[in-house]
Amino acid sequence: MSAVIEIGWPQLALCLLFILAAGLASIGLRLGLQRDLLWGTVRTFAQLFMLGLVLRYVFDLRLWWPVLLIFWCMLGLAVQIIHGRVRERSVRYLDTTFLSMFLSFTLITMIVTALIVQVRPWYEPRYFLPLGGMVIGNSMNAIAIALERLFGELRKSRSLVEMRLTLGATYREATADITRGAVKAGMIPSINAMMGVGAVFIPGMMTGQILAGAEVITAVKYQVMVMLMLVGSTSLGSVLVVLLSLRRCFTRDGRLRV
Amino acid sequence: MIGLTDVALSYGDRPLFEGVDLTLKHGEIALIRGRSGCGKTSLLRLLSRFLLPTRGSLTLHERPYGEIRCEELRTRVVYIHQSPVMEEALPVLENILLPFSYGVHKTRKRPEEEEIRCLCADFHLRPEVLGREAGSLSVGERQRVALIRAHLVRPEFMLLDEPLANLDEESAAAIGGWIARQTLASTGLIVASHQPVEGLPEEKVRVLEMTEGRLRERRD
Repeated sequence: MSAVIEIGWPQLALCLLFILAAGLASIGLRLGLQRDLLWGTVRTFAQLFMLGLVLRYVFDLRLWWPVLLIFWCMLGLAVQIIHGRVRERSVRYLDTTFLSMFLSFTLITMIVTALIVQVRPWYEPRYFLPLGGMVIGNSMNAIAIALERLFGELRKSRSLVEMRLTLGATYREATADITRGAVKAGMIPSINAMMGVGAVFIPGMMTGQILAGAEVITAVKYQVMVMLMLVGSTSLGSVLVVLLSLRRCFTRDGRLRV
Repeated sequence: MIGLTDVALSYGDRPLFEGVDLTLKHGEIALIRGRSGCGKTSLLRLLSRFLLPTRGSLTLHERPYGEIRCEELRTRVVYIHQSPVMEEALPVLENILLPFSYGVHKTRKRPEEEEIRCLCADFHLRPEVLGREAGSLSVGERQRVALIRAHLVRPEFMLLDEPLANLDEESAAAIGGWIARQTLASTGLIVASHQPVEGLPEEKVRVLEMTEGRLRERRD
């Protein structure tokens, strides 16, 4: 197994040529993207190096609580991003979203590190944080899609839902098809990803491990685990967020809020 | 018996009506008149608890609305929308039986098809309509199917919102006749309508006028 080839600082700086090319295209075609390109490049450097520093610090600490703390901070940020995407102002769903993601993502990441990879200790940051990060990064999309679908369909089917309520349906009965559709919408992308993986694209984690000199079959096994783990986390997350947030769409006397 | 005491409703700081008192017994018909936008529909929605009053109380057999479970209340006091909604892709018969798929009706016997056919005849609907997709119903047929569906739930009170609006003569006559016959049954009806309902037995009908944010009983 060969070690990773270190990228030198001057060589890394050479990458700025890519940005330069994009910048020239932006100027030449008057796309007006120069500012975004510049700001994006600065943020990429700053955010990743800051993350690197934090990770190096935590890797050395060997305590469980800073690992979980970082993980939950990442969760909090993901909830903020979802909140920005889902445009619904009359229903409170931030806490239910956080709770759903907290429960499902923490559980899935713990199962993966403790039972499948069998890292000792289970919170070993070198495994827990990258895997947990992948769970959050990939599944928060599912959560956002499920919520968008739920609120959107409720708004669209208002009179249908109300008709069912007038005939004695509970709010769950009146929205059974809508909740099913929302959970399904959240789950489908990760299922589709299983169809394309390896055939249409070589996934990032496998690429990284191969570059880092891991045995190819080991990298494959990790990638398979990641794909299945993401199906688990998007499914559990979508189910929880829809069921918990649905209650919030109705007042206590059974009126629709959206 | 359904009762409203000193009920007021506002949307934001815009008052719609206030000081509404009404008691209605089984077998009675309250005909609520008034120009559109005066709050007739809002009053019906209060009674079916899709709105909460700003002030005042609603009771069913002297039990406050708040103490009755939503699903139970809405099967005892059924609201029928001005333009009734259906599960468009389902056949009419399944639409009629829809309430019986809900937990609150699970313990009750589903109505026999024979009974549904009789009701269709009462409403001047041909039995073939039961097999059609609900999406293909005309406005008049839709209104009648909605009434059959609500009737089979055996509510104590029915709230009809403009049941005769936009109907052809045949549908209007069928529904008007059915409303009149309800006075013989024990169902109480609250009908919001800006047009007169013909052929109602006068002694059972109370005409109420909603004007200037008040509900007044007409005794003429």
